[in-house]
Amino acid sequence: MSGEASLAEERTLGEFVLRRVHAESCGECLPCALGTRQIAAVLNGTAGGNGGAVEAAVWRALGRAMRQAAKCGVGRIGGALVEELLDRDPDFFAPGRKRNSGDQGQEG
Amino acid sequence: MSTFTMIIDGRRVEVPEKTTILEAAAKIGVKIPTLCYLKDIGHDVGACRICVVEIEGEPELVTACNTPAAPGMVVRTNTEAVREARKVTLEMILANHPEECPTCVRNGTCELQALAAAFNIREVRFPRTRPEFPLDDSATALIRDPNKCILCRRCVTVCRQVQSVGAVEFGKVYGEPAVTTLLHTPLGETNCVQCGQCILVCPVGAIYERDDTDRVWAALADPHKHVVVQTAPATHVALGDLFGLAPGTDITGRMVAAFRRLGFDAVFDTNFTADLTIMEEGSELLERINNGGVLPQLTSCSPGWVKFIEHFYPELLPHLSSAKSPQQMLGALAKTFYAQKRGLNPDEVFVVSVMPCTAKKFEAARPEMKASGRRDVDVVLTTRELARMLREAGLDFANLPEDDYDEPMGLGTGAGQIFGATGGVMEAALRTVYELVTGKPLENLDIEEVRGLAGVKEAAVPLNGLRVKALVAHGLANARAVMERLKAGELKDYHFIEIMCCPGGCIGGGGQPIPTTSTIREMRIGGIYARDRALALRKSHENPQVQKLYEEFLERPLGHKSHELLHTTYTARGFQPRGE
Repeated sequence: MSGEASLAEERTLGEFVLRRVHAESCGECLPCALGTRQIAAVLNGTAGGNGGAVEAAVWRALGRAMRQAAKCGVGRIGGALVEELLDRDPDFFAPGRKRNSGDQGQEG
Repeated sequence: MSTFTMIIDGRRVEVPEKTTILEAAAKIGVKIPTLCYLKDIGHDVGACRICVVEIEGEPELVTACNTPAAPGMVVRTNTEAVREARKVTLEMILANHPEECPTCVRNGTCELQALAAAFNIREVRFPRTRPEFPLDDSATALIRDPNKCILCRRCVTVCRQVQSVGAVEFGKVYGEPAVTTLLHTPLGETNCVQCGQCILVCPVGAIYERDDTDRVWAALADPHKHVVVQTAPATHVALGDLFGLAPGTDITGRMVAAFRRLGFDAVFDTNFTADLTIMEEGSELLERINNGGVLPQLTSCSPGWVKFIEHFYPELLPHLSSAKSPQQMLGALAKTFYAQKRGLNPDEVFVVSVMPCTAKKFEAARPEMKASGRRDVDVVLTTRELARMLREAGLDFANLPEDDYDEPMGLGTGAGQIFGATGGVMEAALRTVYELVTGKPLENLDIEEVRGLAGVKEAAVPLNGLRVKALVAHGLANARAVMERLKAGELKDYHFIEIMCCPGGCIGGGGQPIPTTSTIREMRIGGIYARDRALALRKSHENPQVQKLYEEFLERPLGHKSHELLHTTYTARGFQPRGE
């Protein structure tokens, strides 16, 4: 993400990459499989229960867990990106905010 | 083997080469939590990441279960990062796990439940994200609840590596990782042999036996039913596990007393028909040897094994003994011989089996098993289901006084008892065949060559100039290896092969208490042989009730009535069938 990009562009790019990470997650390890599913659910507005109203600190813990405990680079990069996006925008994962199409980056 | 030193949580530990961090930590009393790891089946895929630890100098956490320790390695197992990673993963699992612990079949034995308690999790901070999956109750004996699956993949490993069946696999459902079947076929329409080894290894309640306890309660409450029960050899040394007794404890007498208190009308011992199986199967072997029949003869009392050969080696079915399993023999006799003797209407005799096995539920439901003109065994309960009934009835099982089985099918010899351990059928058969053929007593009844947990065992017994060669295998991957040798023509000079579906034999059956580990299997096997040694009669042909049965009813082994009631046929099913 370039320093030249606007916050909106960063969000768009961040969402796109996170969706790709979810699509690429093979499911072999749980921090990545379950973490990327949490991310996809909030991006797609499909989270159950409290609708994805997870505090930023919890998202940060999820990012750290993925980055440090995932089996391969997919989950680790996904986790690092979660932390990076939260650094730039603490409300990145807030539920109910307008998102780009959930189709981007999904498996065909 | 050379050793080296490493540091775990500030303490030096010396370990041999090829030690994992998990094992090294255990050596100094540090218990690193695990969830998917299961040493017994060689499952160390590192899927759950619950066992992550920090290694000094490494940027990421590593899994202790499958990372080898190294000289000078400095490991920390309890840092903030480690605890956070474990807890976040655990919370995400819990977020997608049904909150029905009090009604779950694994309440109290659930490894996820235990971990949640160990991690002091009082709140799950993540929402549910998984779609609802339908329950798969298409199989006779097993029910899969994919909603409870935590993706540990132990079931995939045990089914593929230990049993060489591969009925379940890891794939994607609705685009999400899931344990599923080939082409998402309902389990009952696959080549699953219903052995239930997946149940034993599942850390949660994602796969479990069909619970038939209500059908037994209903029969016991029905004044028009004469309810009889039979108990398999392997239950004698396993039921006690569920009531705080050491694995292998002989609870036979207490189990009989418990049935009386539950209101069963007659309590019979499957050991009796195990002895009868030896008479029929042993006679069949001698007939094949003397008359040029198909050899080697394969044992047929393990229903998971029978279904396996029907699916994977149908061309070898002529090798399979036509003798029914002891369970089915007793069912058929209960509704004919016993009903006749007691003047009962066979339609009112309700036969319950207590078995260490889930595949027995499938066996009892086979259309071939209606020798009495109706289903011979009405309900099969696993050891676990019986324990539920005893708890529901409020029985203080461990302190019950001992009681004896009922005549005319309540006496079993030591030979019948050892059916519960791998090699037991072979040993029992050799004890009888030797004496019947030579007319001389067998000096040493303990045939050590066929005992123990080695995957394939061999023995040879001289019989009037013929050297009878025998093979024993347990666990279906070992059975498959033996079948490949048979197909390749390498076993032409063998006479008799015993195959048991489950590792360790029936004492390790899929219906046995959880946990069933290698150590527990060994303890139960110890209990089996201890009971054999303690019994006055240790040879099937010396069982006076079996002798009386032939005199009064069956006439002779392999006779007309025996063929009608005690022998069966098999079905070539093929690799991926379309139904049971």
